[in-house]
Amino acid sequence: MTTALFGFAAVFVLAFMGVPLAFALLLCGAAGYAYLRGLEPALFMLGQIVMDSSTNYGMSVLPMFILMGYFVHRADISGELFDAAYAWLGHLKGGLAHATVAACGLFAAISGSSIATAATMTKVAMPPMRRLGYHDRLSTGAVASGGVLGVLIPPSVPLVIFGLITETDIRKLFIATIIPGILLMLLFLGAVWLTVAMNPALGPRGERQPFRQRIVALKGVWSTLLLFVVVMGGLYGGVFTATECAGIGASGALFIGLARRKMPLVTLIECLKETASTTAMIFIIVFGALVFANFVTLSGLTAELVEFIRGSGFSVLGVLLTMVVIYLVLGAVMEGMSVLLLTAPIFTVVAVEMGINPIWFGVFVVVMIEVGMLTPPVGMNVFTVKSLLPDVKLWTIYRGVAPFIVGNLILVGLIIAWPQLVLAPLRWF
Amino acid sequence: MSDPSLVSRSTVPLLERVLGLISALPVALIVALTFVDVFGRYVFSSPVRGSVEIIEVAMALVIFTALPLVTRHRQHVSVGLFDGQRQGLLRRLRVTLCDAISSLALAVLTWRLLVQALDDRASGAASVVLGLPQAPLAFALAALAAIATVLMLMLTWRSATAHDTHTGVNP
Repeated sequence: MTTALFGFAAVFVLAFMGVPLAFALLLCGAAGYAYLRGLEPALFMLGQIVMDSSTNYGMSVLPMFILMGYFVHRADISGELFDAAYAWLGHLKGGLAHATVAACGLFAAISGSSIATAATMTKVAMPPMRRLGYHDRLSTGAVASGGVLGVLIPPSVPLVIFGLITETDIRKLFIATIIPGILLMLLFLGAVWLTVAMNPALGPRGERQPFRQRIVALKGVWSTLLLFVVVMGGLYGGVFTATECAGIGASGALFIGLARRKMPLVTLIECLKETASTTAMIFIIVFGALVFANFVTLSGLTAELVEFIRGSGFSVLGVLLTMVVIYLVLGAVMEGMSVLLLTAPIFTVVAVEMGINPIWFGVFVVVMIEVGMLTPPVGMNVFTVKSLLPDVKLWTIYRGVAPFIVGNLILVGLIIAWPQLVLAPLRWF
Repeated sequence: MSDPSLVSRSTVPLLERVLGLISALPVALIVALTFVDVFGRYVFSSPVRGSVEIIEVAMALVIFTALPLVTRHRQHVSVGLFDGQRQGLLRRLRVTLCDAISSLALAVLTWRLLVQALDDRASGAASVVLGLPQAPLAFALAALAAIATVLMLMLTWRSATAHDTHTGVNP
């Protein structure tokens, strides 16, 4: 157990010094394994893991969902999504902020990237909100937070990564996020509503649009909605596997891009190249995380942890709340992907030993990852918005995302209190 | 070769462009095969033979052709709490040390892939359906990892000589 703790300490020291997380995990994992079992087995294990996990059919789901995201991004649908959301929600108090949250949710769901959503939506939604005199706190809070909806709403890349490294069924994970996804969207809209209710000057109403106009506004987004429905419907209905669903999604997004004349050959190749780079970036950490997880398992830490928890009479709730605290701390100082890959392999084993359903646990983990993307000092979504709006103070954005963080934490409370919110849909499909 | 950055000025951009284009191919192949496979299965009830094995090879190629690019552009995910640190000897030492550790990790990776390739060649390991030999793939992966290692060593050299002390970038 001490060996594993030393291993963790070494990873944190190296990572905070500035060594890329993948390399810190890879070296510490291999060194720790070598310390326990000898150098030759450690090196053999490393080679095996790298070879096996890079030539793995199941893993191909990841680049395809990433590619779908890049295609959707280049198809330039964010403006239409915002217009459609505005037509339906704009007349409410703080209507533009509501519209931003809804458009972010949809865009993030199909693009799979929370950060890309924050970046895109800042460009699309900030100018109209500023024109109508929205306070920066509300507007930047909405664009920075809306993106994290995509971490939960399928097809979600972090959820896919969770599924791949813990060998949990990705299709089931996607089904399990249906209710939490809808709830989180409502909680975020509620956060906007509450903010404006307390201080109406922060976000005035937009114009109410007649019903006909609302239908017309949907015209710009029907293809995107159709893609979402086909991909997710096919998966839920059991027509496609997760991999097939990703393939259909990527091809469909390409067709949308082509139909909108936004996909010349140069852009197409650019999307493919970016996908390859993002895939490599993630997989190198996956290699590191798997090597490190092997070392931790060998050290007996996970087993001892479970025994310790049992012996000390900790309840399941106690364990989950402890994990919530750990995620809050890690999420504050680290970027989301790193937190996910560092914790998921070990925590999932502990959770399953404690009798927690791994599907439920996956949903719990990604919701906690979302919180980490918004909390200071390292809130990646907040950084993204800040980099595009240099005139807004970082502190203003952090204050703006606070109500949304509360929304996220309420969701965590809800799924802990009623696990059926996550698990019930598994029986429906 | 006293200053590796001189070599980099002409060779590296070309290498980047070539690797970039090559990395795009397996991604396209994976999507196209999956797409055709779905239609083949549901419409003509005949999936593409061996598509799973081709996709497996393509996956490995996606990761390793892009690895040198990600390395070269310092796109590896870092925690980066210290990004705001000012220029200075301490910073240069820290960045150089980090780069050297990254080089070491990539070198170990290259070495183990090479060992894997030699083992595969000796055993003549091949895939089940299409009979694709595994050794050439493992050699290719080792070669690509070697390129990444060399690029990382060049970055380390630069950090040490303070041509470029930009730390890791978060995606």
